[in-house]
Amino acid sequence: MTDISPSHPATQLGHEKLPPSPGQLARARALKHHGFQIGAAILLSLILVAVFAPFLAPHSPYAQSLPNRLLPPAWEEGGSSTYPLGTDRNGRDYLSRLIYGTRVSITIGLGAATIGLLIGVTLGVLAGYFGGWIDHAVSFVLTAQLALPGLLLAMALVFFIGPSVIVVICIIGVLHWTYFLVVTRSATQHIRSLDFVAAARASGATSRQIIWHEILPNLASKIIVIFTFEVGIAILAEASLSFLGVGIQAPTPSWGLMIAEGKEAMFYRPWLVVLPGIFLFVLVIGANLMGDGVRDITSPGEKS
Amino acid sequence: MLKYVLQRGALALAVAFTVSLAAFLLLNIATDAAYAIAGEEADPDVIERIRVQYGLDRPLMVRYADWLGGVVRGDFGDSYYWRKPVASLVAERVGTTIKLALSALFVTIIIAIPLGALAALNRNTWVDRSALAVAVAAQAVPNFWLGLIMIILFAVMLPLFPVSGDSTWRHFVMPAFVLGASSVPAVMRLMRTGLIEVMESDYIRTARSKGYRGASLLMRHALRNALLPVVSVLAVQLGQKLGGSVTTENVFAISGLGRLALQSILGADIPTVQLLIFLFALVFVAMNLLADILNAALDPRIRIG
Amino acid sequence: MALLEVKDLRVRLPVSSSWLYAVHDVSFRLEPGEALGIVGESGSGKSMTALALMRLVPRGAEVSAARLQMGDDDLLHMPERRFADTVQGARIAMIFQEPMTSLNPVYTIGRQMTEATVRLGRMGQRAARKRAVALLDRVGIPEPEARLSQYPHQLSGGQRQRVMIAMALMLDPKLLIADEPTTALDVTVQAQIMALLADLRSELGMAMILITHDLAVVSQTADRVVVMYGGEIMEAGSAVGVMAAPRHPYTGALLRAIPTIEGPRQRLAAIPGTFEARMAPPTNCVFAPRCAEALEVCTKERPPLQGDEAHWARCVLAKPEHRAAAELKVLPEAGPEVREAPLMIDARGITKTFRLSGGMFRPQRVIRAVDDVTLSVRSGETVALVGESGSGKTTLARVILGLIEPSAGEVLLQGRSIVGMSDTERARLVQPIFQDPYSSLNPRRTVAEIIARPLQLHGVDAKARMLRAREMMEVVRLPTRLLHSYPLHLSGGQRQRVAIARAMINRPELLICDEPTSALDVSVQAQILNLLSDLQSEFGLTTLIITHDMAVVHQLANRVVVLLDGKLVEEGPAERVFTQPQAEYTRTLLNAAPRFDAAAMARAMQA
Repeated sequence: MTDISPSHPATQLGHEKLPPSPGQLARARALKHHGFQIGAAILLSLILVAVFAPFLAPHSPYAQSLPNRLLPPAWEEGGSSTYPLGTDRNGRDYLSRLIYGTRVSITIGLGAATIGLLIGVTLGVLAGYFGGWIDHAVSFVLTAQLALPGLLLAMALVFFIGPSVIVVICIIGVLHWTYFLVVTRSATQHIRSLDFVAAARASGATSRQIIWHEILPNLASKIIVIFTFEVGIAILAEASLSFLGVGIQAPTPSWGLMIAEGKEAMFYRPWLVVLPGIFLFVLVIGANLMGDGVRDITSPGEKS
Repeated sequence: MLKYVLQRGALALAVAFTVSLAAFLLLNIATDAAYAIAGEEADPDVIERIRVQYGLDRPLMVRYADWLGGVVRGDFGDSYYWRKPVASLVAERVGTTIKLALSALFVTIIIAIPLGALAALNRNTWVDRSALAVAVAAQAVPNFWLGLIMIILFAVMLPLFPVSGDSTWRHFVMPAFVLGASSVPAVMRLMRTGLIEVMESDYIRTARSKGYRGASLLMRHALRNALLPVVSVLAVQLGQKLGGSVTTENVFAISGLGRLALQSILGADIPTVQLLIFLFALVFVAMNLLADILNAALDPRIRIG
Repeated sequence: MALLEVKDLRVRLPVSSSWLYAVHDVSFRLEPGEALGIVGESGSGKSMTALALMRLVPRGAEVSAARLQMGDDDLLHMPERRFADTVQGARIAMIFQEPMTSLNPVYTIGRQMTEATVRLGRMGQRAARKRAVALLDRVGIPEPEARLSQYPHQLSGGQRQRVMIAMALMLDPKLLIADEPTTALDVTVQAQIMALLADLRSELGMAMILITHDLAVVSQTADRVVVMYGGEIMEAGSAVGVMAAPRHPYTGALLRAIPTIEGPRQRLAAIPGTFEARMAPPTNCVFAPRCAEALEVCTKERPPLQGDEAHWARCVLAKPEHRAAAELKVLPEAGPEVREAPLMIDARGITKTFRLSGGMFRPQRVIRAVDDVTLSVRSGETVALVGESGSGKTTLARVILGLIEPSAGEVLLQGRSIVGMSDTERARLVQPIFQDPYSSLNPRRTVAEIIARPLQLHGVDAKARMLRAREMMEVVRLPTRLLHSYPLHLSGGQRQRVAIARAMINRPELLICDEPTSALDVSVQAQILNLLSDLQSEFGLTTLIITHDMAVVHQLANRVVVLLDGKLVEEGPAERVFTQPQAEYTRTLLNAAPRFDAAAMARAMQA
């Protein structure tokens, strides 16, 4: 009756130890992926900066010093080491403001992306799994959302309701779930068509059980990738809003706002504009590199 | 075919109007227009009078229906802030924004498509990696900041272009670059992925087996297939450029719709904001429809059953 | 002089940071007008050999050979440009496995057929079009003129393959390489295409290399055959000679593993284990790990070539008679009398229609996938549901499984309507096995979790689940250490066993197998078919097997039901349907199935 006897060499094929799980393989790939490591390092450092801001910043970001307005950075003529990166038009230490700015950007980035995730993934899975009128309705809402000029509406709403961090997080979050939806929906549709979902249904699983047990675990890595990208997008969105004056308001140190404030003096004090931009650039690149890295790690061979 | 276009057109209009409804409700809930008109410090009586005078005391849906009726007639209301018909405000500025959007699209095309193609054809070499690095960097740069940096570099340090304004074509070079650059990463990646897929397809293998190689293989067999999805994305991008022009126009002081948008918001001028949102939504869905039609025209699988 | 001479061809492919040795020391000769079959399972290197000849290997692959000669020309060192202009398409043409994707969707048939001819300056545009029309007509495409301006998506799979053949013939090549040209096509179309190729060959005096996994097809079409395994040639000789009296254990084992459509039913002799790709050049016999007759020396040294020019094998053992004489265990006649057994499945008047939205340019279409089919299966029976693509067999299966609701009709399982049953009750009664082993297991769960999931859904606790999972692994003959592996570590055959274990864990009464082995290699197919038949007798299962392969039907079924375009055209005991088919379509199906030419083989054995 046996085609393969236990002593036949064929059954000895393979390793003695347990072969690595997909999770372990991913971790091994992560350790070799430069982009991921750089991105993770950047994000981690900036998060630490945000958390330990009070210990790292030489001054309070709100402390004004009118006699010391518009000082250049320490290495330029006229600069002083008390204010290593110079001061802004109100005499506030730029380095301290930049450091505290990480709190604003990171909080808003993570918060808005989380809201986007919750809305987008929920709608995406429901639309992708159940199809039918739910899908039609969600597609309509999606198209409407895409047609909405997001920045414009965000500007208007934040300004009208009252610019505070919570409002900014919510508004940006609610206007940035489309990417989550689109990817989750098509991935759910694809997974749903695979035989193991049919097998689960044939075993008597309910829709809820199938979504939790079969579909979501297979979506996890895609969702993480999108999340990291959305963090970057949210950070830039807040920066734009604050720059235009319809986001975070003075005196809170938001990098976008700092750039707007520095704009008047930018021809003779370019650092006021350059420095916050560099911080924004580095933070968002960190998030994007991590996103690209996670994508490469969890689905190798799909570089896009 | 006509039936399809009509169906999609109707859907597009429905979407645009839904957007306008959502915007109307949100805007009018978020703020009280009466304060905007009267001024923040005005007396409560004055505010009350203004409310009645402008019909702001009526229920929201009635006011929306009013607005809708106006739109159908071509009357888009008057601006609270400028005390002029909103339509004329828009008409004065729309040309400028269109110029900006088209030049930005041009910039995106001449950078993203060759870059994406080069990356695809030289996969995993330094060419590919540099192209991807450019994409990653461009995605992370705040576009208003890029604008300011360019002004510092190319208008002040090297006086190549004017700092701001919109009178000559020179004024549009930097803004077009900044606005166009923001779409480059997405379009480049799309081109790259699409071309890679095409080059690895079975029908390219068939072409190779007939002796096609190198440039002729690419031009005759691969490019058209790879460009198909890109074309429709570009159409949609054009629609989005209108919304995205807000920051660029403000940085470069270009008197287009984007600048108007900011000014209206700061001035709590709801009718203008409302119209702008509706307009942008309308353009977006129209571009989407255009993309669908282009797709059908270029792809025989859709054109012929 | 030989048309094509290949000596010691080697191909290796870059894989992460090392090399995969896909083809090693492959040598053969091809005379003008001769047909050579290259036979092997997946991973044997057969396709890569052909791609190497045409310089179509993937990027980064390295090709080397001692000799690669076509007539007077050295193909190995020929400059690229000359190769592209004078060899590719012009002297050697190739057709591929997937006709659905091998033609460019945005260009017309006419353009794709004529472009190479015009580019090389052989003919002007008009002359080329005339030739294209003539060739399309020759390959059996109706209304050839009109086709020139049509697009590939407007043609069926079989028609597209005919177009590919016509296109290949445009430049009058001396050699046509056909890489699994019919694998993706229905069996009736398959037969037509193979007949077409045979006709064209004799008419044009064209040589052909046919690459396939199907030994029967090769025996029907090829003059000579080369059997490949693990990138090497195991045996070479005349097609009939090799099939009748194989000299290599692998060839013999393959032959014994194939279900036949005629003759007595025999238990298939499965080849144990699976093929593992090689990451280093071979230092011993590549088949040794799976060879039932392997000796110590087979794992230590390279096997010698034994035999003569006309028929040789790469093996230490050199007893040709040994192979052919191996007896197969004959199975008892198909199943006990089941006329009195209770009805397991009682499906009456099942109809299922689908509405396809037209999109931009087509009106809505209504498709009747299943059209008023009544099917009954008694307890203990094995019924084969036979049909080609579009016959409705898969839809019908899913209706019986309760996964799709029929538009009309009802399904009773053990006398109870499935509509009234709860999902879990139905799950205890009937379970599926699907065709594609690569999509039937959740990639993020371990084997143990996958197998035990049905128990989990029924509320069984973790400890008991693990115990039962272990039991099932033994039932499907998988080593228990695989319980903690993930699907990505398993081969196709192993995955299919896991799927079977999952289906069987709740001891269902009825098993519905939708093409359970069509996605598997021949040797693995035999393992799974044997397993299914053993499980049937051990657990008293009723089985409904859906297949397009009449040989599999012959191997397993008591009764046969034939579907065509959603309608039931024939049904009856297997014996009767095979010997006295009543429906025309059944006769067509039976005739189309490739089979070994018994008479020719008998002659060859005596020679």
